[in-house]
Amino acid sequence: MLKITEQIYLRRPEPSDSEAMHQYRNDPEIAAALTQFSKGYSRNDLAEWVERQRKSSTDIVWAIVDANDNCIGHCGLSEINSRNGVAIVDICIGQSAFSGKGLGEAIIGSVLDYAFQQMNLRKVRAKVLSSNAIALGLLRKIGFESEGILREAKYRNGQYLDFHMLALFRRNWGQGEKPCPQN
Amino acid sequence: MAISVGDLLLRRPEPKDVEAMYRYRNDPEIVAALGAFSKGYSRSDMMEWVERQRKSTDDIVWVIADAQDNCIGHCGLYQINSITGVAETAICIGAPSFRGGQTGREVIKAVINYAFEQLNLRKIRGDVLSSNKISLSFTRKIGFKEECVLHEQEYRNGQYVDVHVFGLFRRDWNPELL
Amino acid sequence: MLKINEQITLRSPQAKDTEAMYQYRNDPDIVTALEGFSKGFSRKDMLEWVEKQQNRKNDRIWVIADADDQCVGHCGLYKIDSETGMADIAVCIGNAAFRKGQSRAIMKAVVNYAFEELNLRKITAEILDTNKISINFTKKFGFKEECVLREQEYRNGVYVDMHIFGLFRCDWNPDALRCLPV
Repeated sequence: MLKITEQIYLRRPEPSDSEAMHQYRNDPEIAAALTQFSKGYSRNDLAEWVERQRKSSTDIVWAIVDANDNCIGHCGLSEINSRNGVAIVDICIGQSAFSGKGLGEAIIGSVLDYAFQQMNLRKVRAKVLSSNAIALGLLRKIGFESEGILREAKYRNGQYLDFHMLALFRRNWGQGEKPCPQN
Repeated sequence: MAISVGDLLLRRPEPKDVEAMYRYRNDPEIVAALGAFSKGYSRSDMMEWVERQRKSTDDIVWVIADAQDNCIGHCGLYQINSITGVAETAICIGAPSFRGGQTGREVIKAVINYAFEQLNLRKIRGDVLSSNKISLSFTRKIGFKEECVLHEQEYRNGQYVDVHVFGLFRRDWNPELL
Repeated sequence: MLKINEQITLRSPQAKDTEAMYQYRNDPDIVTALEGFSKGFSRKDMLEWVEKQQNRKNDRIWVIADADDQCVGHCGLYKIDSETGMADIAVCIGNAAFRKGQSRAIMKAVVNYAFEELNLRKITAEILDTNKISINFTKKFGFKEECVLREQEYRNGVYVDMHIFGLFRCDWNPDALRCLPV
């Protein structure tokens, strides 16, 4: 259980979170910002997703919960490759009441801290739709740099959208480089 | 990938290796030196072991194959932990004609190189029984440093035996000196 | 099955291909160029791989067979996503002579299949920075570089960049390639 603020915590997802997830992951406004296309999720889909995450060796997901332990979003690391020392950070805040208060930055900060300090990773990547200016701005502020644009990688609302690829190396996160053979 | 070591090849274990392994892994002289205790292996045990290694995500084991592709021993990296960057190494040369020469050294060199150059590990560990003088001296010679001794840790041939725990950091690894 | 020319056919993997694959997929020279890392394959691994290809919904992999129907490599489309209209392409030719002479023809066949048969919109290719030959070939073929994932993969003791290339159907002109030297 990881405390972000007095009101917000991160913990492992439980089956009981699927109801809240079912709400926000089917919300068109929220879904529009996410990189994954979805034809919509049923409660079973989400329960299965929670279970899959539990067993996964390449992903770690946390539920973002409020002071009453209600799930208001999720975040985590995916495509974790310890040999290469790389993973992708994901975040989805499901309730608009919680956006715009610096929460996203705090949560990403926590996930990065875990990635570098606990998972001993070297590089964290992010994939963001070019239309998601808020996420792009936030990530750049944290120190992520662009690695290119995967053109027209998604189809959303009648148009093709680009994926912006960003990355943050541990050495720029201020914790020092993981020992590297040339050093 | 398969790793060439002189005329030998380190390659993934195959069912056809079972017979050779069955012989040397039940040979008392060879077994006495090994860190792990065993009540003896049947051919079925060896077959299962080959299949388990194939699927394992924590270990990488190679058969040491001679020029005729016959198994003369095995070696590998065990308990590979990519987060801590550590793995254990072990080698077992089963064919008498290959024991005592440069083979062991060259094979371990190749395994350690693989651990650092391909798996991006940071530290290799090796455990050696105090009764295995040859292995103790060999391990020190290739650059491992003794980190601790687990006293009277194992039981062999009616006696308690110490286990010497060795470690080799990538920063201290210099294959050119060997 | 796709017959490319007198020397090369693309066909489904079969059990009889496992020995050839076992050889080239354990060859360090070939393996270090590939974007995927492997700890090595046993023959049973290769047989399992062949069997798995029957059931894979999102990949379409062919064995590259020579005039005697012997496997000299494999190629195909991975992560085929009909919603986004995209797939990854990969070609692995185990035999050096074929690699020199037939790469373009093989690539053309797979790309054509992606656009003409699967009706895809875009093909991507991921290539390690150390694989200069492949990078040049892919650019010459018409792919455009879209991303460079810096220090992304660990190979032979160093971190290597991964280049991601993209080719859109509307930029694909197989006729233009007829004039270029092989």
